[in-house]
Amino acid sequence: MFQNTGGLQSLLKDGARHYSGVEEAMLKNIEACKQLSTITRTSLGPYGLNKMVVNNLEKLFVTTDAATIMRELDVHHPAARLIVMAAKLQETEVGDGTNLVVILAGELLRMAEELIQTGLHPSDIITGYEKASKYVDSILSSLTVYTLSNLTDKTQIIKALTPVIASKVYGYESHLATCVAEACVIVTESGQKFDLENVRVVKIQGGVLDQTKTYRGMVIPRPAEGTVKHVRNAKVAVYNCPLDPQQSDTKGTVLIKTAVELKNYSKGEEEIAQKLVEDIHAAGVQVLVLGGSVSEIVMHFLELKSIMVVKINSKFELRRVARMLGATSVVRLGAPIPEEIGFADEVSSEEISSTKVTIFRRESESSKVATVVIRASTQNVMDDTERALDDALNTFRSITKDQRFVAGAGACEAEIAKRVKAYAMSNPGLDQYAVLRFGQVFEIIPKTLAETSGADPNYILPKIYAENNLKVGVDVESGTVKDLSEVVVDHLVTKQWAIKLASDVALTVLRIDQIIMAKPSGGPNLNKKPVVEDD
Amino acid sequence: MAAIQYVNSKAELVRKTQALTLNLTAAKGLQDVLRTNLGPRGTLKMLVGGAGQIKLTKDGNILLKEMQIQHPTAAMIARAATAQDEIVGDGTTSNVLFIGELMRQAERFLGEGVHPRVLVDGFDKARAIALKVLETLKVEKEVDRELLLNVAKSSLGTKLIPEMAKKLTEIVTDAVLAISQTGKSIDLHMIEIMHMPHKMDTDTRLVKGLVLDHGSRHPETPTKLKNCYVLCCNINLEYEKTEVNSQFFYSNAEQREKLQASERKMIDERVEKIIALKKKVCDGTDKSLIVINQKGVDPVSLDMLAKEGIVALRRAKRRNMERIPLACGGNAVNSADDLTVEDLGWAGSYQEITLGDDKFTFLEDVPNTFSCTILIKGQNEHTINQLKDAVRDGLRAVTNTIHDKAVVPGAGAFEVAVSVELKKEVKNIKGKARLGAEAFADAILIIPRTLAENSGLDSQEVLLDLISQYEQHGVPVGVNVNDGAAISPIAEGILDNYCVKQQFLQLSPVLAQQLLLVDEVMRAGKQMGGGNQ
Repeated sequence: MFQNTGGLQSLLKDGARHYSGVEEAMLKNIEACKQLSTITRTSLGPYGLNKMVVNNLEKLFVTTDAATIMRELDVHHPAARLIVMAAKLQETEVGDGTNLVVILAGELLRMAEELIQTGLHPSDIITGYEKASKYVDSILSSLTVYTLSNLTDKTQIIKALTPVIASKVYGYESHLATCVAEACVIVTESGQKFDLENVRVVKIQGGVLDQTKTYRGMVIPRPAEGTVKHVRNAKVAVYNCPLDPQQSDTKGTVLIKTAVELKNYSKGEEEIAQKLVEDIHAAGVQVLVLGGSVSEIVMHFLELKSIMVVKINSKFELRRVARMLGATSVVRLGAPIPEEIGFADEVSSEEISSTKVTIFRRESESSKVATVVIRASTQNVMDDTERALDDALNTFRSITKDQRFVAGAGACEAEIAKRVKAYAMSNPGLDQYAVLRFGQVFEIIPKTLAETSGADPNYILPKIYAENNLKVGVDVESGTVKDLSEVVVDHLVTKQWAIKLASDVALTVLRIDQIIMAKPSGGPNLNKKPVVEDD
Repeated sequence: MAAIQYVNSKAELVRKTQALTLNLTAAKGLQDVLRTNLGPRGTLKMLVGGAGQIKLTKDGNILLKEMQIQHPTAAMIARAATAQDEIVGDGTTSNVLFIGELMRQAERFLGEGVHPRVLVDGFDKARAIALKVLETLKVEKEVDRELLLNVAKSSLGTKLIPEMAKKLTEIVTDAVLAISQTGKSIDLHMIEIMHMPHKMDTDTRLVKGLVLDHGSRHPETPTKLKNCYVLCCNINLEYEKTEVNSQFFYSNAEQREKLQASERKMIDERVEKIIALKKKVCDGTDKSLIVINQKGVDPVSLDMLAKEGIVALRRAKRRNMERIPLACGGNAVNSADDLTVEDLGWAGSYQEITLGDDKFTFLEDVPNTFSCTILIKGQNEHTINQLKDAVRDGLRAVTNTIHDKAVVPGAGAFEVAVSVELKKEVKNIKGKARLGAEAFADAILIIPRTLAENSGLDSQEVLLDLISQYEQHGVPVGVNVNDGAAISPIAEGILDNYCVKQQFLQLSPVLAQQLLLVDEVMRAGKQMGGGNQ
């Protein structure tokens, strides 16, 4: 250790790496980010192409959803990971538009790289990008082309959600959007705040996507325990504790001296169980929903009283069922008090193509919980549809906060590009170049849309600009330009966040001039590559 | 073969000039890494941990802590800088730069055959003069919000991008002002720094009240309340095991039921007492009760409380038990007996927010602000960490000012002044020690020079300009990082902590002296020798 002299490398622990300067750190970072965004770029839009991702557990994903691709890719490069983080944040904050974040960030960095190569100092690019990003933020709301006026109007919601679903499962968007809209309306019509918790998505294999359906109430993928499979107008009690003779917290031992005592002991147990069931029955309860286990003996008495028993293992699911039924979960043994009892119009165990489910329906009043049952032939399609529905629901959540929409189909991006480029000309300094490039970045969206639909990407932009209308975008079906603002609208907040996050991450990457990496720590390598066999 | 190797054949050893070179290269190497960090226009460093965690920072202290330095000399310097951070909370980068520069200047003289001891003496003399200069330069000002804002701004500006620095400046200043009580020393622990991975970093705010990082565990409790009494207690509301190994014997189910009932009774009684208190103070009004318990609350008790509309939070942090009475008033109670209204605190609004799996509880509109919370928001882990480190330093800077009741002009002005004054004084130093003092005077200019360099300015030009301006006018002048012009830091509000500069003058030369006086480095210690190599 005393031998090597000079440089930071010699000061650090063995195995640590150190990169610094524009060439070594910044351009390498940019390169990695660019690579990442090229991966998802072609997945944009309704005609986007699917990616097949096999993750470290050898699970297979076939999807166009950038959030999923990002999550499963297991990115190691630190700068590229920044983009992944930004994408994840977009996913948690608004739920949709992850691809937009990744593509914009990648493009912003690509443009920055070109500028650096022409000799611009990174700090000038940073100021230019900062300026431009502020400018875009300020003009974005003026691009609004549509405002949703009534949050309980199904047709309006369908209009807003269709483009979201169309970009993931093209061809089924109108049916799926209707299902989601229905669910959204169900949970909000009673005036309660929209909470994603209240819309459940259940996947049942079999059938086709068109059979996807929305239920008022809950669908639990599990049959009833006993022989009672169907109850109408049921009073339901929810128990969140095991329904069997409870153990005390202190250690207890049964002390038995004679055979008679042994006999009496189990008899006593039975009596307690019987009393419990009779009390429950007397309270008028016809259906029990249980979070814990139920002993054989209690089950036996419940059967005798023909009380239907449904077990739910997840405590969150149990809470939802309780909320939907208007019940309070009981945590002690004994009959529920009237306030704790909930109500369902119908509880039934059914079979949907060989999957046994229990459906809690509550038609009469608002049920507060809605369930969308996805039907499709393969696991992959179901997973992909679920992600699409998830995005749609998240979008609805943001819609409840802000009802403004911008024109979709690349129209909004083309307009932003145009305006930012005009704005660039008003900047006298060196940062003008950066602002100009920032504008150009947005052209990638209409271009990609055209590309994936088979049109020539180079012709599209001049055509859109020629129309001089902020509503004109790319019609993917015909590969031409058209005013699509009646059908394709994008949520403003989604765009706003995506642009903000993308410019944020690009700026962060541009601000880094040194990277110091510790030696990768040991431990089992979870990401070991499977051995590829020759064939 | 050196003597040591007769004693221990495995020993490694470097001596004399070689040993000095070793120290010199380490000091310069470390300086090279940190120099681009200094000042508001310094660049970011990206640190990647062993497991791939990412950290972005401009803060010298964080960088040194995370860098895994192995070189012995470099580690020593890093430790000195970290010590600086622990004592005053700022100035780590300056420290490393100064040590590096002192070594670099010393190298020149050493090359000419000057004995290190002579230089060391010179450093000592120079340091004494520098400290005198510090006394004359320090500006004693009345501590008001504006002054504190300026100090916080100067400290935070070097760690964050301008927009965030501006925002945090107000937050940290107001936080410290809120908790400071006249006649009492400031306990920064009473400012909780809470982070939520949520929204953007610009949503960071100061909560005049408390934010707890857990929530009620009962689904039925309300998530929003107005006008609440707060009971802050340390009462066990769940089954307690006996200290001795105990066990029940029963021979039939009935007996067991009884046992269970009595087992619960003790806890139930405590819960009843709380409920009784709630009924006494809240019934018939629109007020509600929040119980914040340091110990546990079991599901049955939670259920009982929830039925009465009482929000119960369990397993609060020890520190929060101090902070709640400070903010909300009332006392922290340890027993459910004799609860009175006087024991209760007050919060105007209560809100529970769920983010994914994490819950956060906000208690706001509290009667006092002697404890408050800085709520850091950020889009991802590294942003939050960056903010957290900055907030910590900002708080320290503000607190230091209140303690010192004085500030020092920043923007490199102090260093320029010390250098110029030293060069004047040097004439009065007799003998060879003068060489060391001259080296000191040159070395301290590293700070303004680096500031200018990092801003993309011509450092020579800027430096000469500053020196001549100071010599002409005799008032401290600093560098404007935006255009390189000379400015008056006091007028511009670029102010540094007095104690930071003091500490900086104390620590760096001492360490440089120690390093210079090393003439043998050997690795033969019991713990150090074996293993690697």
